[in-house]
Amino acid sequence: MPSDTKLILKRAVRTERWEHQERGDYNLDRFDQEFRDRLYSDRGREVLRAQSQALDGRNGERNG
Amino acid sequence: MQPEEFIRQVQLLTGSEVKGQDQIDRESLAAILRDDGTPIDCSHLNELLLLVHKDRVEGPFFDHFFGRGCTVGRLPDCIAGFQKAALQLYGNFVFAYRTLSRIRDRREFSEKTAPIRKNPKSELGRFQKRQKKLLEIDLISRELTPFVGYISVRDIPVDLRSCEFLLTAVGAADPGAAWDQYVSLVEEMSNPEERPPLLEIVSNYRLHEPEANLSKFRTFLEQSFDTLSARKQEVQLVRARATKNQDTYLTWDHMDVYFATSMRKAWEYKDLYDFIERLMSADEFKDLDLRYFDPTQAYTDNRINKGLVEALMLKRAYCTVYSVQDTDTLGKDSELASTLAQGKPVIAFIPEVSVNERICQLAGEDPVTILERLRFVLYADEQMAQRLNDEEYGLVDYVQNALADYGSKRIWLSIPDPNAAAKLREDLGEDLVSFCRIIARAEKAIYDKRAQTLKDAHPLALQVNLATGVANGVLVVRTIAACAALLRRIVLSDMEFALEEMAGMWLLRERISGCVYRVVTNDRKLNNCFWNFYLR
Repeated sequence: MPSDTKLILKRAVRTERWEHQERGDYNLDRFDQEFRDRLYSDRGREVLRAQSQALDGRNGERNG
Repeated sequence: MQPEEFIRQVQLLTGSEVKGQDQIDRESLAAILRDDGTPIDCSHLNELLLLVHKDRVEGPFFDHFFGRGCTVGRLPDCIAGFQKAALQLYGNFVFAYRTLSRIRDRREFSEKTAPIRKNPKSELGRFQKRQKKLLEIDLISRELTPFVGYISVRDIPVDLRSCEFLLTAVGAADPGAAWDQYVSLVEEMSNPEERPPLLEIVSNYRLHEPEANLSKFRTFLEQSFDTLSARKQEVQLVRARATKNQDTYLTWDHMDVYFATSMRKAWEYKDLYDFIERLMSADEFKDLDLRYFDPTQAYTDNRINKGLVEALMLKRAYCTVYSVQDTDTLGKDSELASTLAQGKPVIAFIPEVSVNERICQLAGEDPVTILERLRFVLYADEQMAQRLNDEEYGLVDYVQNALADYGSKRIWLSIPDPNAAAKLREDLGEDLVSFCRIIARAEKAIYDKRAQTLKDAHPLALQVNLATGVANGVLVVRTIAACAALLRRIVLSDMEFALEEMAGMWLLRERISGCVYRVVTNDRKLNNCFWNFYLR
């Protein structure tokens, strides 16, 4: 196979990532949750938690 | 008819040699067979058979295959009629003759030959008398069909959660923070494995909006989050409708046609939707109200149940239409095999590509889809790149770079940008058309080769009914019109065949597809071994 042919074949549209892997579980919400968990570092999770609590607090005050 | 020809015909009828030919009274045979117009009834045929040392036949057999108007001259046609029946029912002339010729009871004979005695008019009446369905399918529109896919919709939650992440990072940034401070925060808050795509979204946004600050980015993310949340909700709604459709398919008391395919990419759902829509709206089915399982309309949230549902549909459907695509897959090939193994017909639809029409279709598609189609044809046709001349190679290289660049600069994978796509089309101009011509020509080469392989070369284009041992061949068609005509004949038991002898093998060739449907081999060893495991 000529090298230029290899070049064409090699050039992938997108890098194969976790979200492209085959799964036996087709539940979209579960996929959504697992992907969300993967995105954050420990520091990121802390920030997310803090923002969620602050948001819950503001909503609580408004409802109370 | 000459005695030698009669002896040959008897061999065809019984599927076995006429032994002891030196003891046959050829003079008497010649006298009986001299005039082709001489009537032949059951007792005449039996006397002739005994003259050549063969077993006689009973009345039901004679009446069905020879009938009242039989003459010496018509014997070859009548015997060919028996061969066609034997090929369809038993795949074996010897067994068919032994079994059917000895049946004295007319009802028993009718039962044994029922599958080939169906009357197309009665079959049509049966379809017309069938009650309407209690439940109709809730038709999911073409553009929404990719939402019933498993892989094709993942981009939506991926975009949604990435957007949520970037919004969280904006919320954690100092008011008035600069872009590099924001990027550092994204790096700090993200899992290293998932970091590159997140940073890519930020850089792609900045490429589109070079003057924007973080506050404007927040507004953009908030709008995107709403759009993506709505899209995810739409997916869930479509899936709920498709799940209900699946239940409806399961409850139908009739199921006529199963569509076998494999779909991963969004365009594969749309291609199949178009094919089924065009096929099933053909005039051939207006008076039949056929019921068919359309995989673009059904959804199961579990791979085990999905497999079981499809297996049940394959058992229930009268035939399978196998949609040949760029690549073979385990799923649809298994569905083809399962149908053949049950002795049911399989129509393989392989589109006849009109290059000019195809160029127009391709050029109108999303740039990322055009690039994916190039990947598929490169995968399916490894010779493709080698056939390109220098100029074409340069063009493919240039256009695919431009398409890949467009794909990599999208902010969101699941939100199309029609303006950017239109601009790219305009920039590429005639080069895109030439690129699409190369893909269209490759698709044509792939489909033509697949049709030839399935029609003339692949051993497993002919499989075996596992219950009876009767060979069952795939019927290949290249146009929707031929597919509709053949499908109508299949469901009405009105298929037409030509009987052919090829190097001692007997073939039953279906007329519309020109494909081999049934066979009897002339290999003695294979025949004996094969039928020892089926007919004993």
